[in-house]
Amino acid sequence: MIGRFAIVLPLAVFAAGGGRYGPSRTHIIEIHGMAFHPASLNVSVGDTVVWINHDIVPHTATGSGRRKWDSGQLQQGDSGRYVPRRAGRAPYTCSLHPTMKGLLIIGRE
Amino acid sequence: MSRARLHDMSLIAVPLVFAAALHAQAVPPAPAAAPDLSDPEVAHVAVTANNIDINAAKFAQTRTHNAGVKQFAATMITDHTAVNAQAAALAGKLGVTPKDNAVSQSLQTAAADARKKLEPLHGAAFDRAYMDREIAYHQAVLDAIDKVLIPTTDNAELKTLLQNVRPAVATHLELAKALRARLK
Ligand SMILES: [Cu+2]
Repeated sequence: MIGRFAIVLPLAVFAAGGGRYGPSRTHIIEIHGMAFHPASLNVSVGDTVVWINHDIVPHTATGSGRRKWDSGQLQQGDSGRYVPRRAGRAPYTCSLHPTMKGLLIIGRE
Repeated sequence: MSRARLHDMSLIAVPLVFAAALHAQAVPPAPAAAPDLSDPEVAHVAVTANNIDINAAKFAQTRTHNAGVKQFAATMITDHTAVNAQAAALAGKLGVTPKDNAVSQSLQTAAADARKKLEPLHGAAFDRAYMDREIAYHQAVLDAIDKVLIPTTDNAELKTLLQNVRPAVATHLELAKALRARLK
């Protein structure tokens, strides 16, 4: 039963989320028409960034600067996530389509 | 009407434009008339057109030593496979089983001719020729989508599929041109 509470509690926080002072926020970046929407996004350290692919073709969200992360191939309907741990700028691209570019601007919070 | 029909001339124009592009590496005007293919034949043509680019990419992967060309070819295989799956799903939904036909065969003949031209080439010469072909192919597809397919397609689901495929084709063309410009 304790285990169940442990699961429910963060979900409740998540559901109430979006609050500026919550433990973290979740940001959604939609991929459609071979582009990231929004292409540039302000987030905070510890936030969760989620990419959802709506295109027929697969995409990735892959760190192209000093931060290395890779969502792997996201098929249509798939999502990938990244939680930045340091403030700064994190450019990323789609490794399948390098013309697709995005930027996370990560602030301290 | 028993079921949705897929036989818009638009769908048939695509492979015709493909075939012409593969032969002449130039985009011909949209054909005024198209052969009267059945739905199963049209489905076969669509799958064939995607498979041709997949097979060209597979061949390129065995031949090129250029990392950029290898990555481009991998993307072509991934994307055209995904588009094919979507086209097959739509065909299945509309109750169509692909059937071989003259247009599919002419596409395959054109692709075989293109392969023959690439066959003797190696190194940088191969990379240039393969990327030139990919530029012509995707330009032809894009023109067909814009000028023939989307304007003339009545089937709503087919139109949506075309509209969803268009940005991928445009990106392929952009990637191909950028890569070609970097080749020595
Ligand atoms: Cu992509």
